[in-house]
Amino acid sequence: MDRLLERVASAERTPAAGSAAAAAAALGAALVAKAARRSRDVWPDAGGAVAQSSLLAARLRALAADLEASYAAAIDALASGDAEAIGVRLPAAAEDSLRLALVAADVAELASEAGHRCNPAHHADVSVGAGLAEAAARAGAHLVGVNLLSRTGDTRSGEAQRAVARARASVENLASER
Amino acid sequence: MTDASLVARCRQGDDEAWEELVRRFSRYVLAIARQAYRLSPSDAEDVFQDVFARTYERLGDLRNDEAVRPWIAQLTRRLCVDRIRAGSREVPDPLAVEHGADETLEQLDEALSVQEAMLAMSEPCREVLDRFFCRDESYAVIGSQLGLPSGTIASRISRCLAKLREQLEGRERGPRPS
Repeated sequence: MDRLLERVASAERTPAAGSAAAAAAALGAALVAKAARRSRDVWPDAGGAVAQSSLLAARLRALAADLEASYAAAIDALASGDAEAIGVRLPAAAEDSLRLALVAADVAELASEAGHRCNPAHHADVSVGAGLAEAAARAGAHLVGVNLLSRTGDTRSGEAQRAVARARASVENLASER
Repeated sequence: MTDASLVARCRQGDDEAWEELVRRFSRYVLAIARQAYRLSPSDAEDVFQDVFARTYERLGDLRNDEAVRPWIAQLTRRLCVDRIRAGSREVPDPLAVEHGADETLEQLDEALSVQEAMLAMSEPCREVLDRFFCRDESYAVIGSQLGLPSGTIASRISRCLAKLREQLEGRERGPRPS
């Protein structure tokens, strides 16, 4: 945690918003894993949720590195003023941001599933996990928009918004169960 | 077709069964030679030829038809060691090589067991697990492809994983090399 905070707060260009959001979603996945591990007595398929949260966290770890690289490449392209490079690098950064929104929405949906099944003592853990994931999905959608600049009609914006809607529905679902 | 029934058909001189046996174990044999013993591609190919030639000659020595996989693994290991000794390769620490090979072989066996257990599962389970764990698809994509609500995918995966675990636990009580 100290290392991550130190790196994000540093004057270096990366890690920045995308990586920070990926870390938030990964923490959400970790909270789901904790709730599942501690609910095995009441949730026979808890191991399946642990496996899924582990895989989603692994995807987010890899994505954090991809987001750093694509963001740095996009900034370099903008600085160079090379239209061709901008035309390639910014959509690539948008693509990684979309992946962030999609994986984060999956974490929120897994948290929602865990909320129905886990020991009620851990409902707060999965609710907070879903909230972190929803924030990450929103961040991903926001970064998709930023990286697509004024490009209209790009399907990635709509796809990212649908991911945010999935994450939001999961959070609301969990809130209604309290 | 189970390994045992495949071996039984091979013993009867069924050419198609021999082809299937080579197809079923070829990647396994090559993986042991390349990954566990770090043989060069050409040495691994020679070992591959030797393994299946000897399997053809000596299948009658196999006492337990269900144990064909560990039997082929042992045969492959012996031939890999022979190949290393016969070549000019210097092995710094033969015990370390064998220890590393043990670990790699364990991983290969595990992967093969999972693959076999997957094949024994129902098509819907196999598909949902393959899409999530192997093809890295999100719940939303899986749901849209299979015509299911995205919010139900996580629980389906958990149930299918529980079934896969049952399959694997059944296999853990399987045969030893004869």
